[in-house]
Amino acid sequence: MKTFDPDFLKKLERLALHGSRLVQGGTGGNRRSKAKGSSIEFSDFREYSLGDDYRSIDWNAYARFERLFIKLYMEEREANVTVFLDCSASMGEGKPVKGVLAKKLAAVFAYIALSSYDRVGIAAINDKVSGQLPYFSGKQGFSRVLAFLDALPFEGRTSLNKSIASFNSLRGRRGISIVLSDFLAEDGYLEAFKYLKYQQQDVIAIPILSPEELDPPLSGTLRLLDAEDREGRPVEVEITPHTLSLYKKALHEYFSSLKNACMNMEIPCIQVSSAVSMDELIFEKLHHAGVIR
Amino acid sequence: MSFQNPWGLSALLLLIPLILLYILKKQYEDRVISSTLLWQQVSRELQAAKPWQRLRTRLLLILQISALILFALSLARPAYSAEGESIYYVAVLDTSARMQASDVKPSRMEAAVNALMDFIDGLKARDTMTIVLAGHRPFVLAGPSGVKSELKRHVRQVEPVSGSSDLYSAVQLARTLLQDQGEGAGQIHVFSDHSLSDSVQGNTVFHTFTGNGQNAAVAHLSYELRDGSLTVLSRIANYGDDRDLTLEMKVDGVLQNVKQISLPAGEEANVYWTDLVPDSTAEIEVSILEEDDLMLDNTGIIVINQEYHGKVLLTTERNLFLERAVSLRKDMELFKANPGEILESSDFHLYIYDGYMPENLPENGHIIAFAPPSHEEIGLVVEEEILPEGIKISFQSQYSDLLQYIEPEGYRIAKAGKMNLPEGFTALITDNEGNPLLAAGEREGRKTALFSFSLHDSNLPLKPDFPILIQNLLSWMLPPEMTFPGPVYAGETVPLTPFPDVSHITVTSPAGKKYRFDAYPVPVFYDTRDIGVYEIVQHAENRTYEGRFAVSVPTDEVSDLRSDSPDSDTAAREEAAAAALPFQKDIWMIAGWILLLLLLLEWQVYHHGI
Repeated sequence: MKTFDPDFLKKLERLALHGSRLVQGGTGGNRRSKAKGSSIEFSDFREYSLGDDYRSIDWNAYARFERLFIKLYMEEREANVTVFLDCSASMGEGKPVKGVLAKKLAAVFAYIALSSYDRVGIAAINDKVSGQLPYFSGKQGFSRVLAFLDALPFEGRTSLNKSIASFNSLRGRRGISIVLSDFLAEDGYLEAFKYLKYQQQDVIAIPILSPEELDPPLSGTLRLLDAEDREGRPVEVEITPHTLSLYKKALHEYFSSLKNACMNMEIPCIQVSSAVSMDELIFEKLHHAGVIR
Repeated sequence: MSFQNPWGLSALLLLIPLILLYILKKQYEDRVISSTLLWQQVSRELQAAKPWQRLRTRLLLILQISALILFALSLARPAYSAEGESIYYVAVLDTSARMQASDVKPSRMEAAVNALMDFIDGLKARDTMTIVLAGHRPFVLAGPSGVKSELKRHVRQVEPVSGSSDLYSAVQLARTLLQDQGEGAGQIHVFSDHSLSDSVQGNTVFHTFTGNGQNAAVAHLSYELRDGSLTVLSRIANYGDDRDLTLEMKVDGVLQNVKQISLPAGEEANVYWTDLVPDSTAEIEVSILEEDDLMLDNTGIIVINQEYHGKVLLTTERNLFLERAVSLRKDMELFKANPGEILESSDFHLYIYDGYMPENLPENGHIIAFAPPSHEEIGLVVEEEILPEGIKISFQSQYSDLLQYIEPEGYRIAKAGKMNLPEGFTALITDNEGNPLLAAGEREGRKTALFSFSLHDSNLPLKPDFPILIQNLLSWMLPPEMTFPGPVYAGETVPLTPFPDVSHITVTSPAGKKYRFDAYPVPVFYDTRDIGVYEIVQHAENRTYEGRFAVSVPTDEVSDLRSDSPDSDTAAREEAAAAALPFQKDIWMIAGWILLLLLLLEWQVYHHGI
């Protein structure tokens, strides 16, 4: 992928992902953790237990209460950033191809996270997890991200619910999950969001649609075949201004419903067109949405 | 209800492809899209509205079919008549040169044509019209027809002629056409710049277009060749108010002289142009430089015909009377020979044999023979000698012109040969028993006149008719050098009398248009519509004869623009004409508006459903 020139990457270095929740556990990183540790910023006390670093014992408190307390400090921990990249056949459609933008975004998010000393993992999904880049940290591993993304084909059917639920690498660790998809799945997306929330993830939803989906340049009497299931039941429709208006209404309702669901679950949802430029997308849309700061 | 343009209904054939399109449009075209998820929802909504959808499709089809039918109806120009009775009209349109006068703007002709167009527009659906053009000769231009577009198309192509018009004959022709149409109401409408007082009848309406035009004309041009000098007489006529005129004279297109004259109103003046060199002069043009309401007659052209000598061979022992009679033609060169004498040249236009005929006739040339013997080549058989009693003349034959000005009273013929005439010959003078004394005939271009008697045996040479008869024969056989007696006016016919050895004749008009005629039968040139000089070339085997004639405007008939100025009853006639205008209302505009409404409705249904 040759999307990223050095200047662009430099710009990315100044950015950071913004999760609303604090991540938990793991080794020291650049992200505030709920884990109280040995860093400078004091956070709380707790009673001493076996195995605690006795250097943290507050001897003044012991003098007053005759019990051992240790000082707790706010410790900066690294976050797990998981990118769920929809690689179903539908993402291979559109002009420009939706999946290409999705791959670029995945790379961007990975780079930002790696620059922030976070751990990054990428899951390629369709109706299952079709490929996975295990979590790793360190910017020097970014080439692995690019190689992984490059090799991903767009195939299979979309099922966000099934595929994300089957991703078991989250293991209840707090982190940030980014879902890059067109969200056009017959079984919807709610179960997937619920699962991610259950796994204590700060979720970011980025629906990507092609210009042809936003404003179909269709005419005549058509038999519409689904790119994910060409042998399946086609939709026979006569394209008139009336049917086009019905389509736009359905599109609006579907994504309004998605945004409402996201809002209820405190999930930022940023709908983008595959024709949007990367600069505009990253430095305007995502920045304004507070996803990147 | 009727249709002005029934062919417009052929647009209904478009219904076939329209319906076919509706049948064929159900052929689905496969298209792969990234997801049909949303389209399935659209499809469900459409399915839910399917009864309405079907109705909508049908409504669209019905609206489109209705629109197409209305479109075809609009093209067919439906109309309804305010009156039930149909009328047959004959329109007479005057195309004389005078109609080119611009005293009525833009011209009398255009005003008349516009009025006729309006008249045609007003025809009722069942009315029919025939259009007669009044030119030099009247003729039917179009009709009878009720198709307005067809009638108007013909009228648009009408152009005024350069000559006069025979309006009277045109109106007579219109009357005949009206009578031929039989029963039913009929009217004649004349569109001209003048009316005919004796033609105003109940069913004849004159629409006159005339102003008080100012015009001056070159009314006449003639020349005289005398003693090697050429003098041209031009007569200038002023048909308007008192005015000063500037005249210019051109010789073969080169300006030679300019004169100024003052002419009182209605007066004519003779202007002479002298001291011209005749030898090199082919044509002379005299023009009035001042502009007036009819420019066509401001120029006169005359062709100067140089002397021409036809060659005549007279074979006789001695016949002074005949020699003198032939010599009267100044343009002929007379050669004499004795019977049996062999001449070096045989290149004569006319051979006159007196009491003798050679066994083998010359190849070319006309023949006049007196007391000829039987001759095989001609097919003449002369039997015994007869003693003619009494003289009879036949004026009914095609050669009766040869006997013009001949009064055969007192003719005495002592003896003659009994001629059995060859086929194609006609006896012009016979005795009481019908024996031909003078016969004429034409075979393969050779004109032959046969006198069955010798001039020595009659008192004919003593009669004053004799030289006339000989001149008539000479004029018939050798027309005086393609000169044309008097001026040729536009629209007149010109007989192209060929010389004996000519095979074909070509005529070139002033506009450069060429006409070709076979020499026999004698052609007549009709197309003299252009003013100017026409060139004639007679083509013989080894040579050509060239001649020219000028066609001019008949100024006596067309130049006086005031001659039929509006008189007191013109207004009344116009009023009558207006009252006689037919009334018919086209309703295609209504159909057009409904069509537009339907298209809007169809657009609404297509875009927004019902």
